[in-house]
Amino acid sequence: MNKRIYLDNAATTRVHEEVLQEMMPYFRENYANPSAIYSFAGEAKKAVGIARERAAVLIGAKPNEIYFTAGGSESDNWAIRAVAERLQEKGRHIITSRIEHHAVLHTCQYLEKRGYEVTYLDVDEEGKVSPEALEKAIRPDTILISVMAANNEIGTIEPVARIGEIAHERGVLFHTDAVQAYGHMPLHAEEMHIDLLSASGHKLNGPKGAGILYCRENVRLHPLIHGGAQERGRRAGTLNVPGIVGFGKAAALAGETLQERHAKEAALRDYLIDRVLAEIPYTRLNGHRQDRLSNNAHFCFRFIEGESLLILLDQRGICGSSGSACTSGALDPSHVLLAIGLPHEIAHGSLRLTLSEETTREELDGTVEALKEIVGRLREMSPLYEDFARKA
Amino acid sequence: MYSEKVMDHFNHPRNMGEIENPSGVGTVGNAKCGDIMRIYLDVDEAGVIQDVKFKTFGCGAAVATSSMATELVKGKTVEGSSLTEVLFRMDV
Repeated sequence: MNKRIYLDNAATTRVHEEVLQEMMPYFRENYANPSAIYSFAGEAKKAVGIARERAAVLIGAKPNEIYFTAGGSESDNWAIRAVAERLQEKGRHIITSRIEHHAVLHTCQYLEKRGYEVTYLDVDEEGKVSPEALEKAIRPDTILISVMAANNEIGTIEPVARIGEIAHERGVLFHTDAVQAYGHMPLHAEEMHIDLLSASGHKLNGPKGAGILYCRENVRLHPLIHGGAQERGRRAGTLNVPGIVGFGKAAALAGETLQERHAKEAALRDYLIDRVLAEIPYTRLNGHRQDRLSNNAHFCFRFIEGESLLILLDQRGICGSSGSACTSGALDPSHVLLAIGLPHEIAHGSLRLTLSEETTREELDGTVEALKEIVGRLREMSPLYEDFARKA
Repeated sequence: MYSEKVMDHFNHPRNMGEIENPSGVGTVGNAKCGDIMRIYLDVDEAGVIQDVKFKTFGCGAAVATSSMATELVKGKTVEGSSLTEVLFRMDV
């Protein structure tokens, strides 16, 4: 087996050594329930407080605006359902985009079945939501706008600050799914007019099963999970202390290293994109060339199918992901790729490679060489390529 | 994810390619769901499939089953052993 080259950091990341170390005492030493009265619970309670502060600082928020959850999907579900329920007397209209994560889209579909109306904003060919289109979609009964900070597939960064500004001018709450963006790009809840924000620990070298929902101080939040006084009665369930501690440490590290990491990853990302586009013909980059996550490269290789590509990459120890139908377990390719206007056969040939701060240039060189060979081999096998070559 | 047999056919597809001046060519599938298979046949006067080649755009399973199908039909007569029947009988 080849040495593994892990380029699927948008799926999940490796827990940082320092994060793991900080979590460890909360399994066997300070294992007390932080809600307990006795002094033994003091350490755990204190650690949760520190984590809350660290999670808040990264987005310029206050600690009492952070609610710990079991991850990004829970936070997305909670934010949307809580607002929908609380404001149903005011209106039942929600605005979101076509390229949201399924945690947002499926929650919206759930609400549609219960009498809510949802407007799904189109995006341009680079995956950007248009603030003008958003403005036009706002109605008197609009209660929530939910647009992601950065797309998980194609990496495009959305005009969050402008969207937040419009939302607030029109008196509508604004939620952003920042699962891919939190800790990977500068975010400021206040300056960007964000009322609710979802983030997940395992996307920034923290543990799985730990996330946050930021909710602005003056926005009332109904609980999604009932059954206890934790998180000021908003989110029941014994606190996942090691996970929360890990989240906090990961957020702190991400804040410290953001600039340096961003610059390093973006340089490597551009190197990868430039090489692939120059050396593999009939390839396109998906997403915005500049306004994209620093670790995201997303391609479509024409005439081939993504799952075959992933299997052959895997045989060379390279981990990537694809939006093809077979890999998504559906008959259609990724909704994001269709939303940016790609025809099905091109969308099926997609490959997402997402870097980490540990990624090296040598690993990317190895990946490009492997890609050249694999794409060539699959095209040799492809009737679409044969037809194309015959016409050309 | 796939069985050894499927992976073997995916990694070492049998009869992949084209036939010059074939007796027949057929293409099935559609790009929408991401599978297109093309089969080239060389059939002699007695109706026996002398040679067969394929090209496939699709996932690992699509490539492997295309390869298996070519092995199964080679040497069979066109009549009484339609490609579809063979495909249905395949044990993958």
